[in-house]
Amino acid sequence: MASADKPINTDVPEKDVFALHFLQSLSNLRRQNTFNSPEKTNDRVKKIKKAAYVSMARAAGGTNRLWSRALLRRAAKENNKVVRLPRRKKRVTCLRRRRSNRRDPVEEEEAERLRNLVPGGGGMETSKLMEETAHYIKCLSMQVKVMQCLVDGLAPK
Amino acid sequence: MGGESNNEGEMGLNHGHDPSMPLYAKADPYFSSSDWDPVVNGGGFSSSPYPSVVMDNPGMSCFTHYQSGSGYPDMPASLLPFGDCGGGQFLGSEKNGESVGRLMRAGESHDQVSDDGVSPTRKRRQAEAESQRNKKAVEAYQEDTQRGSDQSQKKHKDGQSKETMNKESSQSEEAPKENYIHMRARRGQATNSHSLAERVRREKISERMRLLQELVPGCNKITGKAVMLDEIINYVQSLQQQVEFLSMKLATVNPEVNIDIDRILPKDLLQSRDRNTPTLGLNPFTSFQGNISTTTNPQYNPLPQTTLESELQSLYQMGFVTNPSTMSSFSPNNGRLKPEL
Repeated sequence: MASADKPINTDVPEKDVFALHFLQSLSNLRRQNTFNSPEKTNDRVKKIKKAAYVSMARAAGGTNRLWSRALLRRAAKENNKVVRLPRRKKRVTCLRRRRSNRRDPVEEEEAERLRNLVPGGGGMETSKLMEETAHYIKCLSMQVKVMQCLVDGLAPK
Repeated sequence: MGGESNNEGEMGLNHGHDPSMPLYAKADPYFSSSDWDPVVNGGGFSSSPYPSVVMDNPGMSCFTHYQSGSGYPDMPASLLPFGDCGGGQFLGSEKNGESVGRLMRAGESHDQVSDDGVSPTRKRRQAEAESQRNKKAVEAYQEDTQRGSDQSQKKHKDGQSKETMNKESSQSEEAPKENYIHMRARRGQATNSHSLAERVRREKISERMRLLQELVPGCNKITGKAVMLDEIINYVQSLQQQVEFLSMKLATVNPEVNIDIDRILPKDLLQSRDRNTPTLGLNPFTSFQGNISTTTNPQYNPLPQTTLESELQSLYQMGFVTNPSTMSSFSPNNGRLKPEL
């Protein structure tokens, strides 16, 4: 069908961008001295996990993607920091269409579950949600690859 | 088909009526579909035609303006007054030289513009309008809830009506590029605002589902939205679990290894800038652990150790060199460079 839709852009930066961001956040973690003191592993794990997500959000979408904005905002809130994200132009229209476009109960339950998974999914239309999910999946897999390489690199011989 | 008693003498307009037609379809004086062709429609007019009437705005064209905030309104109440407005409304819309479409906000996918010329369709409809106006009031009101099944039927008929439309296309009428995306109802399709919007929305969603299908491994054979969505959800969950698992591993491994990432990172950036190799992000690990198998990162070119050490030393004195600028070359957002953690 001849649609005038702009092609959906789900490009994701190269692996090294993710690696760079992640390594930087890790180095920041080290500098905070939290790793030197004997600590429970769980806290460290949480910190690293959070660092992973934040660096992924920053590497992949910056503030151009809904899910990355939501992620960064959520992370900042946990740190009690204020995050100022530039407003997107289309925000208003998205909200306006919210009520009328979310129908079709068959797929809406699934969409609800997806919304709970993808950060920032609560405020999106279903079609927008799926676009964000595609990008999110790509970024997640990239981040997983980076972390896997890191773990392999750091693994004891 | 119930409620069809007034069909005799009609030009086959109401052949396609099935009991699942919505309320206002009957009450609409301008009842017609977009590509109405009375000659062809002897028996083939299977999909239920929706009214192409203006809901609130009498001055608009015969295709309703898309109203995003509205649900299914109580159509009959608002439509009956139109019964008296004669062909004036049609004439008014004919002055509008643009494509008769549904005006939708930008960003929506563009439904296929039907290739029929505008004027022949309208004139035909005008002729029908007179005869139809008397019938509509008599017909029984249908349930609004049956609309749901209707929508699914229409989608199936999409494929059928496409061929007929292609045969009949005289000349394509391009919608002027605006912020609004004009949409045409296809032949044999309902022209109600909601149905058009629903169709567009559904097409968008299926298009994105196809995209997701390529992303998620092993989903080529799956058809059907529900199963596909399940797979996607599982995949996202598994990815998130992997991240958690790997971060756990990193947490246990990290304090034991004495890497000075501060030293290593700027070297990476500077080197990648100079040599223009894009894959130096994980090279530090080849330097301080000499026997690292490079099979895990096959695309990385491990640098010889001697040059690394010398560069390491020189850079160590410089410390973090030009970090922000190198960051900006990589990252898409130049605003905030320092990680929050």
